[in-house]
Amino acid sequence: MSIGQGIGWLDALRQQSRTAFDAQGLPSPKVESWKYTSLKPLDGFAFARPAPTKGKTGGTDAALGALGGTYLVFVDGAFDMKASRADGAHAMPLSMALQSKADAVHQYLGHIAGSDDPLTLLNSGVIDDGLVLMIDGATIDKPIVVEHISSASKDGVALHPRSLIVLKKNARATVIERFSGAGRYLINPVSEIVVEEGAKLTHIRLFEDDETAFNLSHLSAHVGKDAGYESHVLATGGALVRNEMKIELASSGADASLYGAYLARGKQHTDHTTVLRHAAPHTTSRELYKGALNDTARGVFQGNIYVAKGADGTDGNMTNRTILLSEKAEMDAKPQLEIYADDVKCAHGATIGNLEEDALFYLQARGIPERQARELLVEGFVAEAFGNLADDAIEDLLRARIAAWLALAKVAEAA
Amino acid sequence: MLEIKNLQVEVDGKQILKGLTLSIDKGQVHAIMGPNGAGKSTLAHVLAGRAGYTVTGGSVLFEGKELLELKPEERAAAGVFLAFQYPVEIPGVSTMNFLKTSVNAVRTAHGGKEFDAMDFLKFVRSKTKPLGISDDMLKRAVNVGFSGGEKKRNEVLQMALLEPKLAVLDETDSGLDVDALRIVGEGVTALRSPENAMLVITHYQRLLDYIVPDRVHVLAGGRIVRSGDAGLALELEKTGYAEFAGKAA
Repeated sequence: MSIGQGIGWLDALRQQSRTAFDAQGLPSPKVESWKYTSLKPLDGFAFARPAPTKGKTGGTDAALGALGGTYLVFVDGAFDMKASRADGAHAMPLSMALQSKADAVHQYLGHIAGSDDPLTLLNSGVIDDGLVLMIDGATIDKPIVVEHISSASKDGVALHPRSLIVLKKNARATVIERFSGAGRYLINPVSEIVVEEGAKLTHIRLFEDDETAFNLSHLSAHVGKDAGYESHVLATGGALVRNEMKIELASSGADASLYGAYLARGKQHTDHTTVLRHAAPHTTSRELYKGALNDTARGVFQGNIYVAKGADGTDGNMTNRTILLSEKAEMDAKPQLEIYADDVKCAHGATIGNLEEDALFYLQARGIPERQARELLVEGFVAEAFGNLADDAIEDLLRARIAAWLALAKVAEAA
Repeated sequence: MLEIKNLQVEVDGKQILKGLTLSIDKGQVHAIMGPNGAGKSTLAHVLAGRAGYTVTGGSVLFEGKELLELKPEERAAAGVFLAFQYPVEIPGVSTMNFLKTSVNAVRTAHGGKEFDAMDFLKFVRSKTKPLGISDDMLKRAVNVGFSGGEKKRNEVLQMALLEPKLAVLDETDSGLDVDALRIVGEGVTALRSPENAMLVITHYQRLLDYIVPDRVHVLAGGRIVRSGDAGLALELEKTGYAEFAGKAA
């Protein structure tokens, strides 16, 4: 049973998307942006629909839930009302918004994400439940917390949550999303985001899926005049995580800040692929992604700053830094600038290296045992990507997750 | 307290220390002076346990125990402290977190209890004021964006918090203006006690105006070539190290 069945435009979108996806299938390594991340592990994957969930929801994160006002929990792509807490009319599940705000949803859904990306088509062919947040000019003080949980209802489940965030003029909000679950599942979330004039969205996403699971996330954001989209990503889970973001800076004064931290161990694969499209004059972007890879983990960073013709006065800056904690870990970093305008200030840089021996010695010389010193250095290195978070409680929560990862990763035994 | 006997050290196959012998008693301050390339910093690093130095001969006894067999953190726990010539910048780690982790690590190594956050804050504040270290500096990442003077004051703060038995100060005066030199010099002098010892490594005499040494040694060519009292430092200030240049070969 799909949400919103019988709604004409939605049925049509699903049908068209299925046909289009079937014609092209999953992206192959021949596609430039999929050169470093192979979807071959999905060969033979069942792409099954989840079995109906029974009983109480497990696996929610109490500390995360406590941060928020509104707390929405989705289990196996369906809204779990009992586990959720809503305290406002702004945030609701898509399944409800299709009833109470059908026209507004119709106006945006499918129009921000476009229809050229195969995984977006795969999502649009199904469209599971997700967050709809629409704010008219108000400021929402408390973060809106959303959890997407996969309950291992059966093997080879594929989930396609669809989210829509529209901040109208001067609206402000913080959204925290967490992906988690158990078992070997695929989650293929698509988020469509509009930040209109003077509005500001702070968006934190935690990728904490099961280490046998696949998360192929796709986010498209449209940022208007003097508006801001600020993203913070922390990826620690999944057998394979692809965090793909396309940000359109559509009008002058639009700003995007993309911060990300990734930690991978074992055979994990973590891919962060972003496109910042400066489409109007005097738009700004900052991007900082930092990560640490242990064991035989692989990381990918593909960052593209595209400055369209006429987008004069663009200011873009992109940095990617990775520490390899083991000789067998691998990182592919591909920062790119494509500039078709004049009077542009753009810079990019990428480094891949080891923990600094000087810093390690300094900490040890102050009595800090080697393993603890390594953990402190990795935490500091990676957490630098959180440096711009205005909310200390959220930063503490993210740092605690890095510390927990380090305790599992046994960093001192590597390299 | 510290007994260095015939210490020989190589770096990348090149011998830097060629049989250094030095003995420091509790309550004493010794200064080591000498021309560039004499092996002053090598001595400091070998005492603290930095990698990349090969000890080819000799011994270093600290309170009767062989120091060279200990890891750097074990030396710190035993009471050896190195004030770095170039304190290392550590982005993403706040100074306060670093200090707390360090002090608690040394305390637990002695079987003591860790400070909780409030007690530690009180302890730190009792030491920061004379050094002119602000709360803002403690919030910033370790040494990142610090001026030369701030970095050296941060070193003295760490020394004050860890209360070492033996402090080795490696060119602590380098990069300091007159005011910063006074703060650092007075800060170190305030930590002097009959129970601890200091080894002050410096190229210039000026730091020794504040930290008056009991003994001064000239290190040249990987050996101590001359020793004397505080007057020797003043003499070297006038004559320079030219006299020892031949011995440096």
